[in-house]
Amino acid sequence: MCGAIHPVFLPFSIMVPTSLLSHAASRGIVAAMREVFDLLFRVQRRAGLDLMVIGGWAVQAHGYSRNTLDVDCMTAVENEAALGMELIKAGFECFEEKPAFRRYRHKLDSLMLLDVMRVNADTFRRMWDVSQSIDLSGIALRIPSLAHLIALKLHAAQNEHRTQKDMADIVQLLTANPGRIPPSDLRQLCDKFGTPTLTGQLHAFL
Amino acid sequence: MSLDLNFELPVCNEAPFPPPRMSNEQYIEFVEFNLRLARENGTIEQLLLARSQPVDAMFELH
Repeated sequence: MCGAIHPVFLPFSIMVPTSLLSHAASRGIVAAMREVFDLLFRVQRRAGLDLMVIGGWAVQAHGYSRNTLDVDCMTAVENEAALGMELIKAGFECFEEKPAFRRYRHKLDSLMLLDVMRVNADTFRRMWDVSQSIDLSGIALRIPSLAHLIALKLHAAQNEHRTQKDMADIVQLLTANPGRIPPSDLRQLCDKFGTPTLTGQLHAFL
Repeated sequence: MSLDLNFELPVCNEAPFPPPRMSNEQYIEFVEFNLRLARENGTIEQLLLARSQPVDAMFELH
């Protein structure tokens, strides 16, 4: 559960930047988003934790722009506790958990939302090795390769709650990146991470 | 480079987290931020380049 990564209680007031305290009430969603990106960047630098931005922001960086209302990132499960501590130090709290995800929000700004996906160390390393650097509002972060992002989307689309959204993302990603995923590679992706039904929805690209 | 798909992803069959709720003003601000980022990182240009020929023809000015 979320509480398992809170082994030490640190007084909240000493962990939150004063700039955030004074502006939290009046800031908008843009400042909140940028704060989350900046936090991810700082956590990587300070704690040496490798993270990749996934979800809508990675989709946008790969050429399909849709409005995504939160920030998703991926970490190795071995780093999850350390990442959780860093987020708590920055004023976040974990308030929802699923088998592979934790959702954090800032105690002072509910628009600062971060979903953390955890994968095993080997999976993370393989994806990290071919990840790409992006610039998000002046902040340098990394995203999975296009093929690996499609793998994540195909895998997620097996969940019936997500099928429509994730398959739409895949179609748009393939459309926005003509020729970058050869049919043979897409077939491999579908065989490994999809289902026959999902594969059928991508027949135009196979 | 060959495609490395030799990895496993965790299974989650639960409904995704609900999207955050925000006011209309916040949402408009967010959309504008998203558009600015799309311009900055070249996404909009990429989308225009990937536009299909029939759509191109539909909006061509003569």
